[in-house]
Amino acid sequence: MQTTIQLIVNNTPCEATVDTRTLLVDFLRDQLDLTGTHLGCATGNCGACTVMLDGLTVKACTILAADVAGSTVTTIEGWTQAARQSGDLHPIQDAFVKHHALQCGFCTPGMVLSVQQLLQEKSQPTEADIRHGIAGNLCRCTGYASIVKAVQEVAQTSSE
Amino acid sequence: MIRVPFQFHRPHSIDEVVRLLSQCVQNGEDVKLLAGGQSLMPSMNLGLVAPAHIVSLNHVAGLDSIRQDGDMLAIGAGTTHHALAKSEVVQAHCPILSETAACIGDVQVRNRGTLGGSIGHFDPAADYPPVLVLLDAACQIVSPSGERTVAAKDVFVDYMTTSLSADEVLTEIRVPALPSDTGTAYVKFTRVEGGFAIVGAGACLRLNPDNTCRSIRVGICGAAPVPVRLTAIEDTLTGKAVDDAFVEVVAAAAYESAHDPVAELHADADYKREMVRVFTRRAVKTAWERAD
Ligand SMILES: Cc1cc2nc3c(=O)[nH]c(=O)nc-3n(C[C@H](O)[C@H](O)[C@H](O)COP(=O)(O)OP(=O)(O)OC[C@H]3O[C@@H](n4cnc5c(N)ncnc54)[C@H](O)[C@@H]3O)c2cc1C
Ligand code: FES
Ligand code: FES
Repeated sequence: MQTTIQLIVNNTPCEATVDTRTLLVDFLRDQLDLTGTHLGCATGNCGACTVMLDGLTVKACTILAADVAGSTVTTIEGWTQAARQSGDLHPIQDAFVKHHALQCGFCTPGMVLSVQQLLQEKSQPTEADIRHGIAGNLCRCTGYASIVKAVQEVAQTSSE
Repeated sequence: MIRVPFQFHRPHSIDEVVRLLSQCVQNGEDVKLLAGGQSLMPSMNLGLVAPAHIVSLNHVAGLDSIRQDGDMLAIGAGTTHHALAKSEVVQAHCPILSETAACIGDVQVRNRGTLGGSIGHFDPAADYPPVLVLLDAACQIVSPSGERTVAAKDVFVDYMTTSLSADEVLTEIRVPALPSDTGTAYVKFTRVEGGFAIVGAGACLRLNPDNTCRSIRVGICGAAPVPVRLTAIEDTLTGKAVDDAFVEVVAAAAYESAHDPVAELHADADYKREMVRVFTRRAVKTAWERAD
């Protein structure tokens, strides 16, 4: 069964016809070519598919594209574009690079959006807050310590 | 992409939801409600369930309201774990429920998953059920023949089985606004943060001015396929001095009540029973510290 949806993706109004079986993550990747959102487990466990839906992070493999009609979706592409208008990297991206908070990069788009959400809610998080905030994003490369350091630096710099 | 095709419905009112559900049931077609999708979608992605129809609740206005109604809080079934955790009304009047919501899964799961979905799915390791049972919560259910109110303990009937039929929808959950001197706590034992509870225990305790027990309620998940409430000893503890020995009596009763823990990969039945004792002890101790 096909259905038509209207929504806003990365600040751009968008209308599309989707198979009802299409997951939001597949819609973004296959129909809109927004391949920064990754598909890992498809069971809601890894967080590689994290996007912002109406301003809150969600796992796009647990949501039907047909069900987001009328919503606003921001992917890593939209967020970086908005975040780096000056042409430089966003401080979160800078800190990730500096602290080797990514290796293969598979988890990174989702991780960055979770960090963004965390810092929006708590500008000066403790280490426990940081680990709590990224609990829904698995990284199989870094061991998290470097990610925590990167987030700490962003928080510290922003308070100076 | 999910393999098995299904019809997707986006109703805008509960009446429409119920009409769709009853149509499907009458036609003998398998239908599932979709709320946050945090349990249903992984199951569909894995091919474990393949309904012919999905009826989304995400376009029905008002299902996510939280309001105080006299000495009760009325919480819409579509309220997310995130909204429950952050709600000032819930934090002030039923803090055990916001504490429970805050420890479910991870940020993304809490942003999307709902109270009604957790009840409808009823995983025996889910965190709300033991808390709703200890709070004597009432569930408002709408069906083609009208509305009914069912006590939470009568909703959770068996392993992953609720008393809701396929043409019914949960709309509201009512919990008591607790007196402000109530000490409450929900604690859970997980293998990693964001995991389901191996064991979870909730407690509400009120003290008399002489530090004796005015009332205590305890609810536990992981002790059996359905939530366990320590009804048998709760009343007998009224008037007893609250001290370490009191806490041990409750913990021992919890251990005895854990008659049928669901064994799992990380915890066999004996280990779970032992953890029921440990986590009940922690829940009661914490509730005691918070009671004044
Ligand atoms: C990674 C991960 C970790 C998790 N960790 C935990 C945890 O620690 N503790 C915990 O308790 N849960 C946990 N969950 C489950 C989570 O809480 C789900 O949100 C919840 O079980 C289902 O809620 P939902 O709104 O997502 O419902 P859905 O997945 O949309 O629906 C679940 C079921 O309920 C039915 N349903 C939904 N709404 C209604 C309604 N209003 N009336 C009648 N039936 C309805 C649906 O038909 C379906 O059968 C986790 C999930 C994930 C993916
Ligand atoms: S792909 Fe969505 S959580 Fe893993
Ligand atoms: S950098 Fe490889 S999974 Fe995180």
